[in-house]
Parts: sequence; C-alpha cells; structure tokens
Amino acid sequence: MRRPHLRFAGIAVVAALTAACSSGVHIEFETRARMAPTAASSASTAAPVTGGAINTGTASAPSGQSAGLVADAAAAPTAAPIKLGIVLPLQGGQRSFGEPVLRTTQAYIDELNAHGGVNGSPLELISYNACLVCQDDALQAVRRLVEEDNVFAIVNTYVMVVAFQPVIPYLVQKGVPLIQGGSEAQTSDALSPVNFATAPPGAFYANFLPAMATDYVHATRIGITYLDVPSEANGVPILERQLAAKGVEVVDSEPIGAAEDAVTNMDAVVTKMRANGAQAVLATNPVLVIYGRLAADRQGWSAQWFGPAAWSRLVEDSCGVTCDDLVLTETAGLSWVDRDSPQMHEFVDTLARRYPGGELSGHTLAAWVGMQLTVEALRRSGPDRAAFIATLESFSDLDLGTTSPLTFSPDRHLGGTRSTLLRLQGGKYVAVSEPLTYGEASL
Amino acid sequence: MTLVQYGVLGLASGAMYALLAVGIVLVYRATGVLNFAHASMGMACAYVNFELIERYNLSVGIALIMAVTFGALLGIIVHECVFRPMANTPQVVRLLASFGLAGVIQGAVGLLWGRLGTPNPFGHSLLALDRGIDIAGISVPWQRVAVIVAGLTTAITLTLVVQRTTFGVQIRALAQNPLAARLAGIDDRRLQRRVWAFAGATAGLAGVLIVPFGALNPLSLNGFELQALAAAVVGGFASLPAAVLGGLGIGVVQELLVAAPEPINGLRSAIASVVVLVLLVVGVERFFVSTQEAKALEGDDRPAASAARAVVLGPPKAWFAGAAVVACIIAVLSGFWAFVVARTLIYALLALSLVVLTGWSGEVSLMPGTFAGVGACLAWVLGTRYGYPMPLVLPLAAIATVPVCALVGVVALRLRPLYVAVATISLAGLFEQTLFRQGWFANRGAAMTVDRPSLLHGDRAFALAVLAIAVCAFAFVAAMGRARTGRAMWMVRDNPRAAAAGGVNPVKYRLLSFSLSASIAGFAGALFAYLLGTFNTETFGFLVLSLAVFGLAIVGGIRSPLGAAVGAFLFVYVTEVFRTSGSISDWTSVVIGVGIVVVLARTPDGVVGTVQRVAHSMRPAGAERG
Repeated sequence: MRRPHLRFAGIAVVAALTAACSSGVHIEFETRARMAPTAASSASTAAPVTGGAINTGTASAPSGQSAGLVADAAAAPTAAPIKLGIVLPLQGGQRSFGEPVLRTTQAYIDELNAHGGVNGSPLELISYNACLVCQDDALQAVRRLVEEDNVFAIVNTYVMVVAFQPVIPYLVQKGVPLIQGGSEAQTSDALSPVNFATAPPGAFYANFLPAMATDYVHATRIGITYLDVPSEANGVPILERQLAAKGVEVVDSEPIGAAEDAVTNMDAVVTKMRANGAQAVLATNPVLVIYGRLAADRQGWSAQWFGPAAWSRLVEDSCGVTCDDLVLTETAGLSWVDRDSPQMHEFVDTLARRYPGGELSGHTLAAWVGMQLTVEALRRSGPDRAAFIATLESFSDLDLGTTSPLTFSPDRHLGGTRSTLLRLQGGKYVAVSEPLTYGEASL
Repeated sequence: MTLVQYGVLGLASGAMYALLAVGIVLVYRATGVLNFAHASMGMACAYVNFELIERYNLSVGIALIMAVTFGALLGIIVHECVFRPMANTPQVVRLLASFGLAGVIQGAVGLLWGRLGTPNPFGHSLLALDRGIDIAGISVPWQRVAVIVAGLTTAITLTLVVQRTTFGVQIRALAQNPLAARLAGIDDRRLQRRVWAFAGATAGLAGVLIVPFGALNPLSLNGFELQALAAAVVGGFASLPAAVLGGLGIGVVQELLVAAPEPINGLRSAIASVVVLVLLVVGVERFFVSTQEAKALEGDDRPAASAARAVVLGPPKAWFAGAAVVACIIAVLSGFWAFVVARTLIYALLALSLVVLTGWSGEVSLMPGTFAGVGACLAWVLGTRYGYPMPLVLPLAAIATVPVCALVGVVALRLRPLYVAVATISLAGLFEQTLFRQGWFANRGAAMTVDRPSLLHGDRAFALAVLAIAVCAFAFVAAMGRARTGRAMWMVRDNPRAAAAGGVNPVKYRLLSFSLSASIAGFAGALFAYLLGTFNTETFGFLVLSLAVFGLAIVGGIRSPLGAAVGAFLFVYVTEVFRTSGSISDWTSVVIGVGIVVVLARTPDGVVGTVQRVAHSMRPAGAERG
C-alpha cells in the first residue's frame, strides 16, 4: 500500500523546494554583475527597494524608497487589528510539519505588535488545524477563516499544497490573498490572481535542473531518482525531455515509493546507476540526496549528486562531510541565514527570544519571509485587499534581506529572481556561484 | 551487479521488517490482537533514546537499554489500558483500536517532542552507518548488520522461549484453549502482560536500531508497518522463524525488483500488499497453526454479531421529518455552515455504506474511502471529460463502482473478517498505486476539477440537494432493513449455516451487501468531488478517509443508519470545535484517539446503541414488550 504519511514528508519537502513548471524555455545562468534590469522592474521602480524589517516605525515607506531600519519607534498599536489566517497540521503525528511554521509566524507578529504593529494596527493570527492532504478539511478551515472570522488574508500555508487544491479556487472567488514564503509545488496554481509566493519562477524541472546538469555538473549520462508522488513523478517526463534536448542521456530513472524505501532500497539504486554508467545523479528531493549520497559513499562511488535540496539544514546535519561536493540549489533562501543583513539578524534574534528551541530551517525562514512580504505590502497598501494585491504586484527587486530580491507583476506571482548554487564543503554549505537568474519562463 | 549482491542488500533491508514482525506475531499469537501500533511504539522508544543521548548525555549503549526497557513498560501499559479491557470484543474491533492507539502515540510524541523541530537521528546510531562489512562486493553498514543480528537473535530466542520454557508452553496453551488454560491455573492476565512487555521491548529495539537510517519524526516507522505485517503473514501470524524469513524474503524481492527495467522497478512498493493478499487467500495460516488454535484465535470475529438488541432503523416518515427540520436549518445557515452540513451528510453516506456491509452483513472492508475515490474519479471522467450532467453522473458513478468492489467481494468470501480487514488494507494500497495514478481515470494523481450545475453553485442549494439525496438513501436502507433483504443479511451475519438451511443464499447476500455498500460509497465519493470542486486522489487514501469513516461508523453505531448519521455529525463537529490551536486543542487528536479506543472497548454498539440501552433500562417494567 502507499504510505500517505511519508508522502506528507515528500509533499512538504517538495512544497518547500519546487517552483512552478513550464515548457522549455532557455535558462540563463547570469551572474549578478551581468544582470540588467528587466523591463518590468525598470517600468515600476528605478532602484532596488529594501524592506521586511519589523522595527521600521509606524510610517509606511513610500514605494520605490528604502524602508530599512529606523530608530526604535515602538508604540502600542491603536487601530483595529488586522486578522490573518493560517491553516497547518497542528495536531497528531503531522504536528511537526506545522508547528515550526506557526510559531515562527506568531513570533514575527508578536514582535511586530510589540513595535507598534502595521501603521498602528496590530496583527492578529488565527490558526486552524487541518491534515496535510485532507482537502475537505482544509477547505472547511479556510472557509471558516474567511467567512466566519473575516480574516484579511491567509499566510504561510505552503506545506499544505495538496490540501489546498480546492482552496485556491475558493480564495480566487472570494478575492482573499494568499501569501507564502517558500514556494508552491510545480503542479499547483501558483499564478492564481490572489496567490503570491517567494520562490523563483522558471520551473526547476523544465529549466533549472537540466541547465545544472549541462552547464554546471557537465554530465552527459545521469541517473534520476525521485519520490513517487504526483508532484515529483509528473515532473520527471518533463525533466527527461529537456535533458534529452540538451544531449544528456538518462541512464536510469528510479522512483522511490516513500522515505522508508529510500532507507531500504537506496544501496541497490545506487549500485544499479553505477553499473549503468551514470556520471552524476539528480535527486529531486533532499531525503533522496542524503540517503543516496550515503549509500554511494558506502559503495565507494564518487559520482556528483545534485538537486534542489538546500531547503533544510537536514542535509548538513545528517550527511555532513560525507555529502561534501554535492551541488545544491538555494531555494527557500536558507543559504541567506549566514547573510549579515539587519533583517536576518532580526529573524535569528526574534526566533531565539520568542520561539526557544526553534531551528533555523527552510520552514521557519520561509514563514518569516512570508510575513515580511505580507507586512511590507500592508504598510504600503493598508488593509484593502485590492490595494494590497496591487501593491504586491508592484514590487520590483524588493530586498527583504532574507531571500533573493523579489519581483512581482500581474503576470508573475512567484517573486524570486535568483538562486545561488551551493556546495557542501566540510559539512557546511558554501556558495559556489553568484546569484543566478532563472529563465523568464511563462508558468 | 550480480543477483547475489542484490540478495545481500535485500537481506539487510528485510531484516528491518523481520525485527518488527517478531513483536507483531508474538502479540497476535498470545492475545489475538493484530497490533498496527507496533511500529509507533518503536518510534516512541526511538524518541526516548534520542532524549537520553541528547539531553542526558548517556552513551548510545545505555540509552538503547533504557529505551528497550521503556518499550517493555509501554507494552504493559498498552495491554492494561487498551487491549485487556477489549478482550471480549471482536478481533477487527481490536485492530481498529490499534490504529487509534497509533494515533494516540504519534500525537503524544508530536506534542512532547514536536517543539524540537526535526532532530537528527544519524548521530544516535549504535554502530557506524557509513562504514560496514564487505559482502560479495557490497558494503553493508555495521548498523544494518546489527539489525540483521538483532532480528535473527530475537526470533531464535523467542522461538526457543515459546518452544522450550514453561512460559512458552503457557502461551501456547492460552492460544489453543483459553478456558482450559485458565482452569489449569495459568494466570492469563499476568502471562499476557509479560508477552506485551516482550513485544514492547522488541518494538523498542527495532525503533532504536532502524530510525537512525531515516528521519526521526512521529511518523518515522509507519511505512514499515505494512512490510512487517506482510512478513508476519508469511508466518501465518504464528511462526516467529517464518516471519523472520518472510521479512528477509520481502526485502530480497524488493531489491531484485530494483534491478528490473522501468516501469517494473516502480512496483517494489506494492510487493508487501501483493504478498499479504496472496498469502491470505491461499490460507497460509494453516501451515503454522492448528485448527483448534485458529478457532481460538478467531473467536467471535464478526464486529456486529455480538449485539442482541434490535437495530434502530427509524420509520421512513421519521427520516423525512428529520430531513425537513434539517432543511429548515440549512435555509437559515451561512454559506460556511451550509458547507459543513453538506460535508457531514456526505460522511454520513460513507458511514451508511459500512452499516450495510459491516453492521448488517458482518463483512469487513476498510476501503470505503477507496470506493469513494473511485466515485470521485468517475465524476471527473464522466462530468468533466465527457460533459455528462451531475444528475446522470451520480447514479453512473454508483453503478460503475460495483464491478470494482466485486474484486473485494471475491477475496472477502474466502477469508475470515480479520483477514478481510487486512486484505482490504492491502487492496486499498494497490488501488492507490495503480488505478489512482492512471491519467485516463485520475489525471495521473494531479488535480481534477468538476463543476456543479449552476443551480447548485450556492452552498445552501448544494447542501439541500445533498440532504435530499442522503435522506432518500437513508430511508431506502432503513426500508431495506425492514424487508426480507435486510433480514436475510442479518441471518447470514449471525449464522450463515442456519441462513442457508432457511433458504437464504449466504454468498448471494454477501455479494449483495458488498455491491450495495460500494454503490453508496461511490455515490458519496462523486458528491464529495462536487463538494470540493477541485481535488485529487490523495484525499481518498486509506489512512486519510477510510480509517476515519470506519472509526466514525463504529463510534456512532455501525448497526444502525442513525448511528452513521450520528457518527458523521460527531466527527465533523468535534473536529471543527477543536480546530483552533492552543493548549487544549493541541491534545485533540490524542483525546479523540483515546475516545475511540474507549468507545470500542466499552460500547461496541456505539453512541446510538448506548442511548438505546439506557433508554431501554429506564422504561417502566410494564412497558416492556414481549
């Protein structure tokens, strides 16, 4: 039988990893130095905008100008609260998927409210439980938030990507914004009119991963291993097609039923790929990277492993030096944890104070980024949904200090612009490229 | 790579299944409980091991011993608090309780340790994970060697204990003839407590040894449960050595399938399901268990056969009157609450499918969610791809589900209820891996969209339509219960031989109940699709929907249509009330799990049966009939 609980893990991982899928558009690896402003960015704002700090005072920063840190302007919020809703798995065995996201979101809001809220309005977070893949349950929870609690927007539900399939059309119908750090799964409706996420666009499967294989790994024969869940399995034919178009031969494609299959079967998978002459292995999931790389090490096979796996420090913690020389991509912004920006310091410090024991992971950082983006837009638009959405769509090169600069437009609701390739060295991520732009694929 | 090398890797994988299977077999043989919470118990022990190493800086060896000891204590607690009070309930009910128990353990662990984030278990392995022994050119990690040794040693030791010691003789005596064993002075309670302690210890050992290979979270070992179950089936749930060999064999077959070309290499996840199905159908148990012991283990295995009181059917007039009241309520509800009512009614229909099958016919199917998924996919195929209108789609979905359930019915007729339950779990998995992945039927597992007719776009209109459909279905089933068909089903359930002697064909009525049940579930599934609008097959998974529906039907009262409605109401509204996060609600899943176990243990007739019993006891003596 299938194991839904392990699919949950895969889904959560995928949700944190993948960008929306598209047909084959050429991807360019372009360094920051060579980057030119896009037409959209030059049309909306001339200069990069920074923001996302909690401690910015109560005045809203005008669009196009810096909204960086200002002196402490803490004041008790005076206006009516702005309600935000969040739906996560918060009970039972799935709690570990939802709790870090909820507590980070709550930590951000508590800190913000302690500094005067948004334009004098405190934020109020209403959180409901729903299981990871229970679509009826999730729809009911969101409907309660929207219709009974009258929330202004839904935030940070990216781990619920499967459960939210019926939710997205509902939110579109109601015009309720959904803002998320991290990313949408490639199969979800990331371009719906109300749904915003901070992952880069450009389809990992169609563009970025094939380009990594040819332009960075320089492999001509690769093996692919993926979790056998629709969100990953449905992307593999696209991946194979794009690789073939680039002259890369896929010598083996191995579905892994669930995480325990990775535990039990990965030695055989690795040995088969090796026998088939693979020069490198593309693993579409961090769990597979870890177990596969460990198995490869045991079998004395030094092939290059790569894939979108940098969402979590699990790879660092679990694989350590064994996984050295892995090529990874920065997706949820985790590589920015070590960035010396005021916003990142704020994230780390606030988490330490308000969420003791909370780890610096892709999950918590994505939740933080989602709130930064929400609040940045609220500061400028006020609690008006149409203005809020328009404000989000006007952001160009918004630098929140915790992830790659974000650019949105009415046609583009995945805001990330760049990604950095990372390599594990000495058990720690090290950037091995400048931030690379994704191809401007239409999703 | 040679087949020998794949075989070596397979032995290393299979040892994990074998180690878990040992505990499952031991408990089943001694107590008749098929414990699906076994792996969760092991997971809890792995957390204890983690805590002892991380917080108290104990060595991995000392922590292992203490975690195994904790497993033994947990086993005793589980026995005393859950399964001993359920000793007189059917095995299927105890199987369901073990699912509830797994939820309780996972929920409690999530609450106690969830705030830590995702701990890294790799540092807590007893032996090296990245170095090992070279066998046939394959490096087998030392930790995995430890699993193989632990599995074999545990099985051999326990086999010797069962075969050669007084304790083992007592276990066998209790398994073969509980009454005679008690008359001979065997303290069955003490004996079973010891067995659960042994089993808990093996779960702890398995948890501590296996978890470092993967992630440590409350669901860590769930995926191993079916593989371990398949291994246990190889031994007929009775032979420890055969279970170990079964585990190793499954591991080897899985690894050999890796070597197969695409797409066959993707079938290895289905191996456990296939093994379970085939071995159950061929009756592997008879090779390991005497007829006498099999009968003793089986007991009165039919979940609804023990209740003697009359089934609460309710006159059709009452159903229509109740519907009129609900319709009036819907008319004044907000859109959200109308949606909640519609969802409740669909769950009630799903539970109704089990009333016919389990409550009236004594058959067990743990795949109502699967049939609902079939109905939902058919709604997409017929409604969206072929453009049929909803009034046509719903009956077609109900009818088209019948042939699908015929497969289950054919398997079920050959097995006793506990094994039917296990077989349907496996079948549900196979459906999810095969049919629910097809592009023509389920959009390859991706999102599917169905549109309601314009008249039913509003929540209240849709809820009223669902109400009308549901009340017709309930009234029909209630009327059937009063007619010859219903009485024949009850006769078959209570005594198939007597029913046959009375001219009732048991096979016919069993298949009829399967067909009717599947039709109702398929119909409800199609409605489910229209309720959601956009959906995929994940939401119809066994652990997601089937288990919930079976649980709510049992809690409401599985013998009565009214019980189905009450169970659905309780399920939807209790989860809604405690949907908020907070100190109380955080414990909701644990409390619900405990509640299900208590209901299963104390009130097998569910809420409706209990109310009926209380009402009956409060009647004046003169009001007694007959």
